[in-house]
Parts: sequence; structure tokens; C-alpha cells
Amino acid sequence: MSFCGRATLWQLGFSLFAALIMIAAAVLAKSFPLGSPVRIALAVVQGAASTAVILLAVRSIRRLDELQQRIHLEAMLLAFAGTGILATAYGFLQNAGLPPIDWGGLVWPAMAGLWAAGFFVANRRYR
Amino acid sequence: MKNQLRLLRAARDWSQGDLAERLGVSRQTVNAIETSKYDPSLPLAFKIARLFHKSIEEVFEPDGKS
Repeated sequence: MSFCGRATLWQLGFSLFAALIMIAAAVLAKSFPLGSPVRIALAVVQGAASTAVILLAVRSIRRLDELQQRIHLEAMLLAFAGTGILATAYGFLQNAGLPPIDWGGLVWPAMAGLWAAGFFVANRRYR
Repeated sequence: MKNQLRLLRAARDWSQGDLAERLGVSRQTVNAIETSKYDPSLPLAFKIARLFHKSIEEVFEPDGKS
């Protein structure tokens, strides 16, 4: 397996491990009362795991060549702008009477989904 | 931007993958440059020209009249 193949597998494996950590911490946290030191510590663990995944993604993008970095930049632009538009638009709808949404748990999935969609679109432009 | 990359590569019987490896970029980048869908950065353009022992102007030509 090439060096790039091994590095990608390692990153994928670590990301999956981090996801498991976050899920396990979330499940475990339910056994403790809100505001308890254990629950706060588990929240910090979740934050650390998600930070590690993000830093790993940034590191892997830095290793790409100039065209691949441009594709990711275009994808991230779509993700950033798209998430902002979604949040702002729903804010207007909320003012019109729609139920409030807890954006805390939705921002990252929205950004990740839009990043993936943006990557697909940008990648096709250069084929 | 039009370029002679495909011709220069073919003259040496290199695949896009071979050229990509020599330039330190992905095959996707080589293909995008050859099909004029992507203009390389100046450092990469110099790298390409040096690889083929040509000047940049001999490899790349701007679109339209200058």
C-alpha cells in the first residue's frame, strides 16, 4: 500500500475512533446529573475528540496539491455560506412562528453535508 | 490557458500518472491542466517548463490575443 493510502487509512481509523469516543461519552454522560464534574469532564472529552478530528482534516488538506486544495476551498466556501444562509433563513421563519431549533447539534452536520456536496460539485468542474 | 503539456508528455511516452509523480502533484491536476480546466500556479508552471527543458512561454500560451 502506498504512503498516501496508509496515511488515509490511519486518518479514517482515527476519525472513527474519535466518533466512538464521542458517542460513548454521550451515552455515559446520561448517567450523571447535569452540571456534575463527571458530566462536564465527558463534555470536555467530546470537545477534545472533535477538535482532534478537525485538526486532522486540516493537516490532510495541507498535504494535498494546489488543485485539490482549491477544490476543498471552494467546498468550504459553500459549506460556510450555506450554513449561514440556512441559519439566517430559519431565523426569519422562526420569527414568523416556526418552532425554535437547537443549532448547537445541527451546525456541524449541516457544514459537513454542505462541504461534501461542495466537494462533489467543485471536483466535477476540474474533470 | 492553452498548453503543450499533452504533446510534451506523449513525446516522452509518459502517462498522466508518470508526469504527476515527477511534478509531485495528483493525476487529477495533470489532467485538469492538459484540458485547460485549471491554470497552474507560477511555481508549478516553472516546474513543468524545467521538466521539459522549455521556457514557460513554449509550454503555455494565454487565451485570446495579448
